[in-house]
Amino acid sequence: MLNVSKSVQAKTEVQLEPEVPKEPEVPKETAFAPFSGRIGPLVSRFGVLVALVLVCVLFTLMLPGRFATSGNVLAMLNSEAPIVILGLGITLTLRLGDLDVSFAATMNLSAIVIALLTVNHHVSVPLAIMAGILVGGFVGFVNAILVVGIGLNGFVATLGMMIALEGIADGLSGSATIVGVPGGLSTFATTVLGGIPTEVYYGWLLVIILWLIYERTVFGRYLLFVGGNRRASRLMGIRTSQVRWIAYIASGVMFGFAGAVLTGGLGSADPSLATQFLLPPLAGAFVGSTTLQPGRFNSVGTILGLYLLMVVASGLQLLGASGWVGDVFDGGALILAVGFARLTGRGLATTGL
Amino acid sequence: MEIDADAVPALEATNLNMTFGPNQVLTGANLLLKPGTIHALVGANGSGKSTLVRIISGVYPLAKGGEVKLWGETVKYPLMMPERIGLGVVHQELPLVASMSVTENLAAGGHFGKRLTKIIAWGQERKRTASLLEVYGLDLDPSMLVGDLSMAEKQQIATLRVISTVEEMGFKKWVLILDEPTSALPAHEVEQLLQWMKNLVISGSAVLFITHRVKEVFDAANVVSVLRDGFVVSTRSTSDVTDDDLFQMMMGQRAAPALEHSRTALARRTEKESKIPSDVVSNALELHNFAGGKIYDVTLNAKVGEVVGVTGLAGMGQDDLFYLIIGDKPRAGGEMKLFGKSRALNPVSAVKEGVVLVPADRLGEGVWDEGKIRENLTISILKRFVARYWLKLRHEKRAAGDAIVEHTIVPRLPEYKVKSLSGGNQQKVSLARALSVGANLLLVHEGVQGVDVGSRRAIGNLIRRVAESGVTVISVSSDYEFLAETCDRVVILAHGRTVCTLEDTEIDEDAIERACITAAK
Repeated sequence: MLNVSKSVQAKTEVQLEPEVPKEPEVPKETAFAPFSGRIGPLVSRFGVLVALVLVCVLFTLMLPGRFATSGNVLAMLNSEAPIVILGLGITLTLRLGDLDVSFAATMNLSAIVIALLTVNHHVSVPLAIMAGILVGGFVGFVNAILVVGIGLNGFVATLGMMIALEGIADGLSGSATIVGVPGGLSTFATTVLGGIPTEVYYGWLLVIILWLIYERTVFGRYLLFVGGNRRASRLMGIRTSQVRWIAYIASGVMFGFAGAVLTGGLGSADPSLATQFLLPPLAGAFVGSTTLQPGRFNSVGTILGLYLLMVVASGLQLLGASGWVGDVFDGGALILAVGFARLTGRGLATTGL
Repeated sequence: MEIDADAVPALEATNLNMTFGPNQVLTGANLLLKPGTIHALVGANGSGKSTLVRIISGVYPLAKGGEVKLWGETVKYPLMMPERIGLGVVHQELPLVASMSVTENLAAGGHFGKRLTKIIAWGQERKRTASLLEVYGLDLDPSMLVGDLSMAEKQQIATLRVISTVEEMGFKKWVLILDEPTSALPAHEVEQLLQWMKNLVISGSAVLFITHRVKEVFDAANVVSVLRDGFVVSTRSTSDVTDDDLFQMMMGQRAAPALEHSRTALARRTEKESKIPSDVVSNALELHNFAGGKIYDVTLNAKVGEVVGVTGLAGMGQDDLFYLIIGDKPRAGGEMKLFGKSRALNPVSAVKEGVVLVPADRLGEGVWDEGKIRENLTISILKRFVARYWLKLRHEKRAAGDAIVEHTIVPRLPEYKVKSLSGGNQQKVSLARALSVGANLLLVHEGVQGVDVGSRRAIGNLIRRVAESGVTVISVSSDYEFLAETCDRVVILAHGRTVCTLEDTEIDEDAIERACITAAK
């Protein structure tokens, strides 16, 4: 692979041999990393996809007639729909090197607002959904003030935001589940097209949109640079603050939208729901960052990661494992994914992940 | 040389191997340090010098078959703290804590021992620091934060910490390894460091010293080894070799391009002035009583197409100049005119105006090292590849490919990560990116720091070439030789003020150095 002439054995004298200018043929990844070499890049590129196919085959064989049924597959996709939107939304700020943990609380606040507006104030469904999205965008805006404007640590600021939002959701709803949302919301989320409900399509559409933004727009490239080296980006003339403002607000809008999908899918809104949506999107995004474009948070990787976690959790449940096994699995997957990113010599610089 | 041939070698490394992925960086390198010698290790960028040091000091694992002996005894790896066995290593990345004081940084390491519950007498620590600084001739306040020090001062503190740590452990004879300690040091500080090394070896210790500057090899070292293609191709007494020999050995058959611009500064200048019509505003940049940061009063003119060098001893304010010009640091006073108009810039508007910085801290400010070469080359001109909202990746790839060829970036792989390039090639990427925006005023900060001989000449030629095409270049550098080779004028700073300007025929390496020292007094 190298043009080094090993025949030169002189240790004390110089030998001048005609030599081609050194231009080592090297594969794409050459960090000091255990996962480099010929197989390594392939494994990290398609590992999650391969794993997803493998677990599907495995559970189909282990659970004949129970796992690979349209009922189970639809149940999985439906319960995963809001998580997919959350997981995709956080890739925006993760690409920037920021860790926003207020996403689940933002989504749930949006869900509560939508339910309250439609049930108590008889606001029309489209208007209520718009309001939910606005709530999300506004939370993103406040996060941006704290993190970009004032310069607080992103993790700490959004952690505070998360707790505060949970409190607001609790107060607005009077700590009670709001039931009886109008049918229009269910139509929005669960209308079946070609055998698959709309809420699943929303996530898939978002995957495509984000992929195009990340790969084919200036903004997507700026996100990567600002996340990779903020100081250099600023000196290169990129408006780093503007890029970060947009990312926070846009991801907030997505979380607000996820709130609409959540209420529509459940037909109700529960103020205590936020916490259970905290870990899976993060785990999925991190698993996704080890695949397709290793070291970069990407939309297709994220949805593959989320589906992988979903299939394993569902399969374990069908095998008779208790609910807590899913939590342990999600947590473990997050740690593994972050560890994998570390081992391959990449990681989030700013958050220390 | 009066070296006892029978003496036990201070350090003997045999058959060192290292592979990164498919890249074999070291292929059975051997190195032998005799007691009482300063041993220089030279080689082109990417020849494995730092890797060798990292293996010896236990940062990288010692591959099978390799062995390292210190005073005849085999070193057992892993090595948690090389200082404990009388091996002091100053790596290129300085392990200093920016938010802590000089005293705290000097005390970190082995000084406090292993007991975590030990109570620290800070009064004594400060005294120790003050006396250390005095003995080693450093004029620094022990309570200063390391983050506020210049690169040169940081280098000195890191070196001093290693020396004091090992000596306090009671080693009379030991081995010091310095990985490119001088790349960020101006001439005066280099001499100081060489003197520290000379004092060390008097008592029989040995120093291994990596450098890119051939002059230092002959100034200080007794022995020089050349590393090329993964092993030591030659070890000679410095009295037996010439710098041409060294150059040949380092580069192998690929001799670097000679400097195209050997004409005198005067010839360059008269030629150029005749080219510029007199009715055009000929001053690209004017600074009047410019102040901010460590700059207190700088007045400077740069004509269109001129290469103006700015230098001084370490920490004289030159490192802040560019950040004030592009508005990254607040200006405290004075006026800046850009092409005749009074201006205040910020980093975004600066790039739009074609005022572009090539930062000294390449990895921290110049490139995104996890990014691909292509992405780094095109980041400032991405908007050119947009057609109806979308990036045309094909056009971007073509532009990146062209830039790689034009600036002779090796390897020619646009999808290769910048972090795996050698320092010289990373610098070329940073320069190419800066030029891509259509620069009018190119601000090059330490353009050849830590860059091998070949890339150094390529960068020097590039600067001359762009200047001839009408780009004005300001070059802040502590490398006087580089300034003498490339600049039309050299402005000397001392304590944040412009002191004098060397012009035309006055410019040579020694004159610049003399001016810097005189100015600082």
